[in-house]
Amino acid sequence: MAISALIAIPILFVLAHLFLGPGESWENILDHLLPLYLWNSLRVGLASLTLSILLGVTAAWIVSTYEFPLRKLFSWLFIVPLAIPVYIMGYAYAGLFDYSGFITSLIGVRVDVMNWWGLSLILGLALYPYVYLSTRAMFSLQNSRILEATSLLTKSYSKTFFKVALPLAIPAVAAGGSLVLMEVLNDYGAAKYFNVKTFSTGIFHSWFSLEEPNTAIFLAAILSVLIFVIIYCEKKFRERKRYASPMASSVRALQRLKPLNQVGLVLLSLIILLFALILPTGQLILWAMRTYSVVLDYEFFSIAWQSVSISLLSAFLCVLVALALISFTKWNRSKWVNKISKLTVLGYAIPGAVIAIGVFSPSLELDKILAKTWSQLSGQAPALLINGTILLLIYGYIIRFMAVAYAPLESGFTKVHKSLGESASLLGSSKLQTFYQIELPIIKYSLVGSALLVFVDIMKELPLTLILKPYSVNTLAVRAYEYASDERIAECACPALLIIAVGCIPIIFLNRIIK
Amino acid sequence: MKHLLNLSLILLLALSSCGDAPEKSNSTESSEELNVYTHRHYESDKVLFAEFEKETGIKVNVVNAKADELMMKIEQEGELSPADVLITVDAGRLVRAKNKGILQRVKSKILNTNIPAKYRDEENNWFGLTKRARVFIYNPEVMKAEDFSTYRDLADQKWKGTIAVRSSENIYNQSLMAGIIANSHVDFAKAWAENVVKNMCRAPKGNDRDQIKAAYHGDAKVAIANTYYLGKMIGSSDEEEAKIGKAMKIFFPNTETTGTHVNISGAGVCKYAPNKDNAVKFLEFLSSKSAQETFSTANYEYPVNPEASTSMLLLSWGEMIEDPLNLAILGELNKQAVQTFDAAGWK
Repeated sequence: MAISALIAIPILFVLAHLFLGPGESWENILDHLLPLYLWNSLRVGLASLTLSILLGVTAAWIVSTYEFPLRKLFSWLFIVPLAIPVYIMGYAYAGLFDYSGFITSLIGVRVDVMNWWGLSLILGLALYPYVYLSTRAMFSLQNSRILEATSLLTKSYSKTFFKVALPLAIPAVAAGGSLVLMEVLNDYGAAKYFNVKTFSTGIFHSWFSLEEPNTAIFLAAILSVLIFVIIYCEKKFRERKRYASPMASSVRALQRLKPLNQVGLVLLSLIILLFALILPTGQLILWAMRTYSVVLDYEFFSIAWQSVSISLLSAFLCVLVALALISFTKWNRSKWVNKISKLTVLGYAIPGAVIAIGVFSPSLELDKILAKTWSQLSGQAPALLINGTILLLIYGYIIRFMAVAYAPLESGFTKVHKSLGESASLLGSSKLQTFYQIELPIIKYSLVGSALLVFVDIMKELPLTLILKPYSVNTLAVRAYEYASDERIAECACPALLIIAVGCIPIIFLNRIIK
Repeated sequence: MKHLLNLSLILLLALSSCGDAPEKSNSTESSEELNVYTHRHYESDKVLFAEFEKETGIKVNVVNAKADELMMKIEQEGELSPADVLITVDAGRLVRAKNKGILQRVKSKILNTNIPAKYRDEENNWFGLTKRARVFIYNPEVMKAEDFSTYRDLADQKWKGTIAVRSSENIYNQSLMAGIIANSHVDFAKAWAENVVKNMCRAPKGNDRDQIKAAYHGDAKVAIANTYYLGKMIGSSDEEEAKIGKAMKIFFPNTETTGTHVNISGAGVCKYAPNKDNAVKFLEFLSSKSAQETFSTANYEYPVNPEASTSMLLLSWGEMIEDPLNLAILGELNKQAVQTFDAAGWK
């Protein structure tokens, strides 16, 4: 209860602004900007969602159905774009399509990608792994007998796909898709560089250009409500569509194809990877080769170490809190506790910078009281105790990425049959005992998996880190940002590549686990 | 599970050693420290900060973020804020900081001599450190200097489809707009912006360098950009960018009318600065002749200190006649400028 409250405070702080109302520029925004924000967010959201589903489902289907050369390699390479921060993907694509860019020189014409469809393209390419991961897990869990029976009857794997496998996988596609949608609505860096006015850029516009934090938080609150609706629909949808039997699973046999078709699959995989991974990282490597001598120094590696250790620690704590939340809601029948724990997932939908305010403002008030009390007790000059320490940053990360840890864990728990817990307690085992001895072994893969996802996300996180990080701490993402805001895009490449490289390690594990 | 808990404890301990907040105390130790909140993240600044540390033995702690975020942070931290100095990249934000009451008055003879009155707050709450001009940049193979005259001229139909300029979200554009409002009238400024939007060669996007590239490649005939970006392109490690930088020329608009729009990057001492003396020393150092010359050579900005010489490259761009407008006005009109852009449909 205390934990859920702690997580919910910053979010409630933001939501409260729905009732406090916007600032004085609201009419100005309503007249000139709001329709634009809605329209852009809508079309970018739909376009990138479509692209990510198309790529994610295709990739998931081929690696879990057919046997072809390099299949294993492809099956984890497909996840790697997840490690590329969206704004870095944006810079890389802008570079590729620049006047002297690689693609421009290749095709001889300059295609301008810095517009809404270009933004949708890079968002789709950067985020499809969410769909891929959830769908692949579903495909490989699908009752092999059903699929084999169907393919025997229809003699066609494509019919099996459209008539049986895909409909069965829809809950998984929806789960991955909702994550994509949240990330899209949250993106600020790429939308800003491409100057596509979305809801998220609007929040920053009203906050900083118009100097009205109230209007900004009001917009963020509206956005949160929108996201809440998405989460709710997805959940209802999943509940309605749940018909895969949880216990089903003999390993599916992979279908062997004619050599020509195998080549086709390899080519298809290569094309997906070309756009989502090879081209953007290629651009980054080119830039890095030019700038590494300026960028790489002792400080760089110390920053890298800080990045990794903070992300690891925060990811671990985040999963721990998620686990506690889920367990407590299971044990506690009170509807209120349930409602609040649902709320904690909202953090993922709120822009990092707004979360930062939500964390910062209430904790600062507490800190001021603490400081005064402490100084009265000790006779020393008052000093802020929590503020400007690593604690606040980690707290912020936990709130921001709770959903990423929560969702896979929750679905992991669905594998734990209710009867197991009930029989355990009938046999006199305590709740904690049941947890350690029965539930933990079942969910341990979801546990590690969600920690890794959170880790990758924290490595990439920028706006929240900027506001909440202590002086002496720096992260790779912040480093990349510093170069980018100095218009030294090429210098971003080294930190960006390191973020991607570090992100690859958990992705290899992730690939093993989700299989 | 227990192992994991132990692991997390170890990590936490390891981190707490690198994550300590600078403490605010009155002990003698703290006189060796200075906490700088800065929006600038240039290499030149790092060099100067290191030089200051070496010269005075005062350790400089830096928080790097956007000015708005830093201001919010200082405001909320209130009396307990560890911030000593706030550095921004435009006058508008300095005025905003003063109006929020997060800066304090500084009495320093050195600062008053080094920085002409025009570039500092009349109550000495903030001080300009460097100047940058928002100018026209063109490809001399396509255009001639005679083709250009004023910002106002860009609203003329003859420029249809030829102007490259970035988003109105950008503070440099906002200050330019504030200058136009100050020199004319808000209705005129709105009409001007509407016509410039019609004359743009594309929807605003990218950064200043992207605008310069568009003008080089002929997508635009003129790019509106800050002077130092051209300098940075010339000094770039990217051959292509350096080539473009060297090929392009600068035109200083409004030379014969109100003068070219100039903005400053500057700093102020925070109201509750725990290390006020160090903060003043720091500003004095940054306004000194040698530091000013570093800004000019390493970061291609114009020095505010009249004693400091402007780098050769900047001199080669030609003489700049500045708009004499009081820079504080840019801050006061900022919000109006943003609303005017919004109403004119300047994305």
